[in-house]
Amino acid sequence: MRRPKLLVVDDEDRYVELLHARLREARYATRCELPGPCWECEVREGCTLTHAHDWAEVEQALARHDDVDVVLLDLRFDLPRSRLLPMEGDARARQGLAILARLRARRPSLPVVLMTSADDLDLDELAPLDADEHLTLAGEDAYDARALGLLVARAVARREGPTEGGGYVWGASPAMQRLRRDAEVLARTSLPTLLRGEPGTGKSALAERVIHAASGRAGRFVAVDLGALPPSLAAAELFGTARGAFSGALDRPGRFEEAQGGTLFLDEIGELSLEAQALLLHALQERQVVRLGENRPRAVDVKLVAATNVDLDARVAAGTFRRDLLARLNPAAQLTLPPLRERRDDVLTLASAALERLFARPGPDRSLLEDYARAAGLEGAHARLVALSKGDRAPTASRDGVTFVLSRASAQLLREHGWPGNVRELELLVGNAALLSLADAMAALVPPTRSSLGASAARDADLTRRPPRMGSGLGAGEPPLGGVIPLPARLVRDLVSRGWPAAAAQGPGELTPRAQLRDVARDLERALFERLYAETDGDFEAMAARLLDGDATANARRVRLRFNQLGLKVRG
Amino acid sequence: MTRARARELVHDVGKQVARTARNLTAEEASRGTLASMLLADLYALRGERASARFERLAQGLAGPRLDEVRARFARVDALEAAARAGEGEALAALVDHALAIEAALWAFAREVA
Repeated sequence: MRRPKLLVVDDEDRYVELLHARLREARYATRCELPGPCWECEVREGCTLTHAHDWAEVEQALARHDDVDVVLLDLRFDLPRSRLLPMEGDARARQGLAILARLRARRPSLPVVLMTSADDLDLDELAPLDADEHLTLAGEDAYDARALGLLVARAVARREGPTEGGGYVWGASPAMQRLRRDAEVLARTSLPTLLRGEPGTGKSALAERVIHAASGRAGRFVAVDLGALPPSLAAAELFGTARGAFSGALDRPGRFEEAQGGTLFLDEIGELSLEAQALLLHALQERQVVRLGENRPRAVDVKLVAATNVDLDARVAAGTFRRDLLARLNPAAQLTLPPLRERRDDVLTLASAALERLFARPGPDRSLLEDYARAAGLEGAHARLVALSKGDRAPTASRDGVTFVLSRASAQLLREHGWPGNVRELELLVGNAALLSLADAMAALVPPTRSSLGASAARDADLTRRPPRMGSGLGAGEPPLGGVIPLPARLVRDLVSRGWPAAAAQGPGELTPRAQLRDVARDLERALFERLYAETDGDFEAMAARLLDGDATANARRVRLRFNQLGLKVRG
Repeated sequence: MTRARARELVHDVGKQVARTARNLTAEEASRGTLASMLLADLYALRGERASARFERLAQGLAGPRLDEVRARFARVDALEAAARAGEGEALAALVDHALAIEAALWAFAREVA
């Protein structure tokens, strides 16, 4: 899942410091390492946290970051009156509401987490501000990075609306065909479904795109990663809270209630604490949940899908998982997803689907592809992967999009790799290879001129005025045609040989695709700086002149700073 | 009036001293950026000690909850030297005190509401 981009609106910097420190550790959100405030940044790549101190800065930040997913908004702003939006009453104490009203007018569907509790507010004040649909009150959770991460995930999920069904790639292996038959049958029953499989085998996708889609249920698909939930928050997250249940607790439905009429997917079920297991068992038996701090049971109708990569029988034997809960999860009909190494014939099909999905999603990757397609004079920006096999000729260019080409040797390498990270590892590898190759092809068509310091330096250039230079070299042997981009065998080999982090293959501490793409962007930026450094014989002013407009000395300092931040060394 | 001032205490003292503490476990209290942020929250909160800010904002208010906060702040201030020296136990104790101070201020605000 893509990391949401956050805009924090707070008069103080301390809260942002806290978020940077904590959310980075949680692999949730961070900003880039460039100095200075985000709204002065020319890079805008790789950051997922930006900051504004008042409404004027919010406008600037939104203008720069049109892909902000969630706003975290403080209520009280201790600022000079000239920086406050006018409003009735105490403008400092309620400034957050004035900003919220402006946000509603400007971006009605943008979710906002208001960093205050209902105790601070007369809730009637929020009614005209679309409180139910896109507003979350954070209360004290705003200051707990883990709880805040959950609130943000909820806010994003609400905005994204119903889940798209279909799109699951089965492949042709007998094990997957059996799995397909069983999953589609179980989906149409009321029975809980237990998914087992190594990390990265696609349990979450199976639950969402197959079981939920085939269930015919009208409610939402709600996913909870129990491995990422601190035990102290799990029960509140699943079952909800009543106001006053604990300090700062608000009236809030849990995930069971959110999934009413739909599907609740509990990933890493083996990580649930014994206390929460007891509550879950009760919910499954009685089809009711009771919010923490409340006595009133609420009826729930959800299709439960649970997943694990641990041996639950062993956990039962060790006394850390309840036997009666395991029995409730219907283990007799469990679905086991095979590791990718046991379905090697599906590797290229999955790789092709991963590449198409990567470029179909709106976002920076799609934008880069569209930029390339325009520069290459193509009529469309469809992406496809062709894996060459014995006797195949190189594919011809197509006007409707970009064809990425995998050589015979690379295809063989992918089929023979062990894939400890399973499908997730394959998706990341294909994404990395395609984006790096695309960026190279883009640079060959449109050499970077003046632009930002970021990896997509060429994107700001006026692409439409540059004729495509068909046949520019990509360092992969034959010169490519516009629209045909080879994935160099050396690159694929290099990516495969980098291996997969052991922690990611073993458990919940997994890498996110976004983290990998950020690394890719950083690699590209390093490559750009190395090239410029070589071409200018290490003259930072000359490098700055090719990257930036304005004060030459100041720009040279900035380039030197970024050069150091990228870990590059001045050569004597 | 008392209600408004109680709210102010929650916002300007309780939340400020607890925001970093909430994110620190006892094991990690002694290291890194968050530990120095905790020290700043408690000893240099907008240019003044949190205990001094509390006393200023609580002037004229009384009650057992505020007495508890005052006692906690006394212990926080007594721990300053050890905490600044990076002693893990002192920093872990600060986390506990900070969270308890916030909880007591919330309780006070609810009682006067």
